[in-house]
Amino acid sequence: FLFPIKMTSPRMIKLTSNDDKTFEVERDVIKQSVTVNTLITDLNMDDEDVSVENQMAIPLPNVDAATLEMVITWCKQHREDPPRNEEEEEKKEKRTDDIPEWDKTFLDVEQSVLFALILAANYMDIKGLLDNCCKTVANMIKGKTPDEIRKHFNIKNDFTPEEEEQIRKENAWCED
Amino acid sequence: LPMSLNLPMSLNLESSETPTIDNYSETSLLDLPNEIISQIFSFLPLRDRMRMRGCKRLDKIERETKNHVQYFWIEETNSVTGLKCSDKTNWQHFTIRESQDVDIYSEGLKRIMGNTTFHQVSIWFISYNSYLHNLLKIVSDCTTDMINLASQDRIFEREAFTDEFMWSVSQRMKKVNVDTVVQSITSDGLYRIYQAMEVGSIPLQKLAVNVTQSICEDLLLDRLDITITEGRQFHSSRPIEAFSFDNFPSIPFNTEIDFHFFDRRMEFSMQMFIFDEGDGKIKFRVYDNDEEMERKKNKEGMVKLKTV
Repeated sequence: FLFPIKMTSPRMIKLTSNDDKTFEVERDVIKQSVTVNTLITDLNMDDEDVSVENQMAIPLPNVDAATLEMVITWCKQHREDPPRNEEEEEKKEKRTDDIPEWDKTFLDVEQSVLFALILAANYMDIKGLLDNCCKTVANMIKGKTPDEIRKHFNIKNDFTPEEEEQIRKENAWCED
Repeated sequence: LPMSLNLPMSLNLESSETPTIDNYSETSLLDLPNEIISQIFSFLPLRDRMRMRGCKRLDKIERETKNHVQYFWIEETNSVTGLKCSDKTNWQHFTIRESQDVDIYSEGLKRIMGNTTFHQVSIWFISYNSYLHNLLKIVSDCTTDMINLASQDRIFEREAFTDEFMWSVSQRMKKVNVDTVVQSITSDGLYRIYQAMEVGSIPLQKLAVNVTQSICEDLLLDRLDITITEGRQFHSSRPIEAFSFDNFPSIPFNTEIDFHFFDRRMEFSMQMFIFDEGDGKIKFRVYDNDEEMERKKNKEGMVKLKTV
């Protein structure tokens, strides 16, 4: 049964983080990043018959290595996802109880890590990741009192006493 | 070197708008750009959304983030616990607790109405005071497809649901349903809405109100010139087709009167209980196409009345 099968190995793309670490990732996985995908297409990198060793790395000056590694892990997990239809997404009811189990566990990290991931997802334009991160933050907010929210996210109350009073009135209906 | 890539200007990945992550360990919520915070707001139910406004910047972003609420329920309650927003049912509750200082609730309502559109708004008031009246005024300016109004207080019904109020909600909504007797509305006021619906000068497509029997009769006899005689025959000088609807034809003593009059694009229906001395429900509906209207006329249970 050992026929010599001619395998074409998947095309790999190199990405470099802002702290100079280089990652190799399958072309098919990283296409989920609109930013990277557009760049690859525009630079005709798909046409080149260049081995990965000689390939130019795409610099991502806004993403550090730890975050980039997470982004790549997420993209690998979601490589089979059907392409998103943004128009459909807009029409959908806004809910936060539909985060896939894998993502829930994956995004159960310190908030600084989560926010760094959000910035990276936004910068690399990965809508699915960005959405699930925002939903995760929304779930962290839900059910908390204003003071608990401030404490949890380190938000400094900079309202004047008059503004504070106005907010208090506006929130009278949703006080516990 | 990996950074030696010479990118054309348009593909430059450096962006001045996106904050650079300088220190991984200290990225916080307020480091996120406004459009992402706005996206987070859009995933929050109203209650949490309002509570999230912990500083000036968040307050401003919330105000600028449009919101859509499917079902909004404004309820006055005397229960201590009140009702909480539920994410699962699509319903979001705005709870007013009976207190001396109800007026503060209008501030919250105004703020919500400022950037929110609704599919359906429902109101249930149990008492009457001028503050609730003010709340109702704010609600009548909101952007919703449908509104349902109900009260268990007779004074409220009389004070709140006036011709002026009904006319004002008719200007803004597609469907208005008042599940309580509108004692202050006149047949003039109703007929004005009827005419405006017919010519299409207002967005209203369906109106349902409970009115007193005398208002029903005024509308029928004077305004629409319809006379119903015994044996279920009717007369009108207008080009009207009349039907009675029998929901339970097998029951010999049907106590319900349910008439449907088709007047050009309009359907005017009237439901009353024979032994009920007081009130009846009237409905106006405007049809965009004939097919839909024909379907209604041919509905099972519809019996055409003879013209005299």
